Amino acid sequence: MPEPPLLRHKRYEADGVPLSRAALLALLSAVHEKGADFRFRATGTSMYPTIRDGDIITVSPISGVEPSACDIVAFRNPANQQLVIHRIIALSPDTFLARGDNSQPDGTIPRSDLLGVVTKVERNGSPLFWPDKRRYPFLATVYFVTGYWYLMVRKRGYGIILKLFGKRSGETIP
Amino acid sequence: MQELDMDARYIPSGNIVAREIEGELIIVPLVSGIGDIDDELFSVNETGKVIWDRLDGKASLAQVVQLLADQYSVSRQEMEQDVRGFVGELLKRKMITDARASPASS
Repeated sequence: MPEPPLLRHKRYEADGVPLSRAALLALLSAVHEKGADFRFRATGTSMYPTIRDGDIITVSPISGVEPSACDIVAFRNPANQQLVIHRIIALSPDTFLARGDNSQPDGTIPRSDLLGVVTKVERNGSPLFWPDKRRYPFLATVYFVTGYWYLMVRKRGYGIILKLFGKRSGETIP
Repeated sequence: MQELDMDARYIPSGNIVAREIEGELIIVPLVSGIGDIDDELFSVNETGKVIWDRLDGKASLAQVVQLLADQYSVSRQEMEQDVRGFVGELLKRKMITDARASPASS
């Protein structure tokens, strides 16, 4: 028989990134099936600067929440069956379009692949101002729509400035 | 070693999520309505998984020990030590409950 410990407490610092995105998806779905929120450490920079690599995010079940454009949500990427946290940029009754704040559009995603909405983000141990869509739907809508357009203007602004200095436009925000 | 009632039958607690993912059994406790895998993520090794699969409320711990000792051709003492250690740890973390105390038990 293998050696103990039979039950091991996995820690991010000791184990690095403990689970793949596919594994995260399976766990998120299992936790949401029980009606609980799912809290985990974000990896990657596709949502920079809104969500940064290493931020701790909480995803709440989508039930009871009417998603709208500019919300930041969790969904299953139909192309690779992995968990993605990106922003909705448009939605219809059956599908939605999403993209990261710092990445290319994900294409058309069926509404059935929408898993949850991000309701909390913590950075360096402190929660960011992040209106919970379930409790403050109006405030959340105003905040995320304003944030999205601010980022778009900021990106375009940087593009124009970079162009003036002879650099390629379309570079990501540092 | 923690004292355990070897006649007790245990089942997974309703306040956990247990999934076999990519060949590894993962347990996430649900605390205050949150499954927090940044702080509370547990993995169970092969031996632990074999024991876990038997914690279905149907067999007592003594029966589990005997069954697994026979199945894996190890001494009863060695298997009992593994079962006691593992079940004790699960009880300490409230990942299993006594099936006799559970309303779902028959």
